[in-house]
Amino acid sequence: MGDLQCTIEPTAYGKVLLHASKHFSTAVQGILIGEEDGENVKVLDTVAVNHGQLALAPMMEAALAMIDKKCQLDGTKMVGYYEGCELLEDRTPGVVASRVCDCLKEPFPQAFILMIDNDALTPGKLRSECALRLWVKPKGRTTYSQRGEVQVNGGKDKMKQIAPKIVDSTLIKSFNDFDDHCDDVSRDFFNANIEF
Amino acid sequence: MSTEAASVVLSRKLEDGSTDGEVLELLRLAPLRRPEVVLSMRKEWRGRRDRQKLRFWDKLEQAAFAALDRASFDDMDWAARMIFSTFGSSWRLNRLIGMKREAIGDIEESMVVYENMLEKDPNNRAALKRQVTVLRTSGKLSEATAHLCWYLKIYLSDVDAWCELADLYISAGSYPQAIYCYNEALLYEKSNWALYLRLGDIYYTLADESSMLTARHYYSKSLTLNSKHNVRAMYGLLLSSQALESGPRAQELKNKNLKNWVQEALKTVYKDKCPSKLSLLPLQ
Repeated sequence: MGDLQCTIEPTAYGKVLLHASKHFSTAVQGILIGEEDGENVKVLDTVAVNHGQLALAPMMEAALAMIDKKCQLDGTKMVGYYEGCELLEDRTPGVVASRVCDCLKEPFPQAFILMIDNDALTPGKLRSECALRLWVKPKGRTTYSQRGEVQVNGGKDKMKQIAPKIVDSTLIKSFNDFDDHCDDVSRDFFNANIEF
Repeated sequence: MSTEAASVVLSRKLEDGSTDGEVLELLRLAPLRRPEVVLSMRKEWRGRRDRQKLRFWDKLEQAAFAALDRASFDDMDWAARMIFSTFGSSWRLNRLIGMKREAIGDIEESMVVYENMLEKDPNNRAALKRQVTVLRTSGKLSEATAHLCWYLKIYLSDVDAWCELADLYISAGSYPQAIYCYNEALLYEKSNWALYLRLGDIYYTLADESSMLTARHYYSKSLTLNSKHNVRAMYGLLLSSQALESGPRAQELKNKNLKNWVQEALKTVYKDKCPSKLSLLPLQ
């Protein structure tokens, strides 16, 4: 297997950034939805799941069950997992990340992890650089390692458009993850009305 | 008040024209972190009008914390100078100074500030707690845990601190220790549904059959205390009863009844508030 190529749609990318921006003082996690295209995996959408304490299973399991049903309806797949760490300088996937990703590997063996690089999360840096790092588990290995790069579909022009939006307070307010959804069920954790 | 409830009250207050003073008071008492709102109400804490009142100084301290969150150090310095010129040096001012050191990333220096506070007053709660957060920020989780254990030997009845310690243990994967902490917290807040919910989550994560049974107990208890706004416990009860179905308790009537009840409860909530996701519920 060659290096995995990963492209991410602007809307999916923007949602990850909004999630991190909304919960700036805690860790965040979510699921990547997409499709495979030969060696390439396209991330079409992301679903924000949880923030705060990530090492407890029930919320993730409930969300996974619902996302799975949604994917079956839409004809897409869960292709990976994303996480942003609580500590600024922390950027390696922890136990939780590997465990969730291992679960995703059962139906989709190429499943990967995208880690948010907290250092890149400033409107200035986001204009030119993708803030996500790709982690994969090479065949025959037991741990994940950083390989390859994530391309944002639409390139630098699109990134320039997204960058100022992640600190937009109305967008941040309208963004919800599954945890917010549990506070008030009428909030949509798929964030269907947000587009970049 | 839980974070969720507080955030609902806040948005209502912001819309229906409550005074800035009322909003600030809510933000002071509730577990909400909304620095942008606090800083936008400059008149309340920069105005000259009511500096004679004690309440003014509460607002000023609140604004100083918010300023640290938003890295507007000019506001923070101004607030600190105001406090110093009126009250002189105090532990509250020192805490602010230490927190500014933290905010600009000078972690070691902030530790020194707190050490000095503790030399004057070895049992100062604020300094002891700040030290725990500083250690946590710098990724020294085991040291943070040790410090917090020490703190809890002195202030045994601090429920927030027990919950924080539990959180540290969960992050380290030490679930049994976390359970102990939440049980201690329960001694002081026997009818706090959120604590039962968290205990349910931990037992569920342990995933063996007897833990799953305990998780089911705790989720049920949480729902008994709060069945209106407790979708998390509903999901927990649903998942734990489903998990128990695959084990030797498959035929247990109580489990079936609980599962059917929670499925109906979830359906009612979703029919009422979010019919579009009704079909996505993980029902079996």
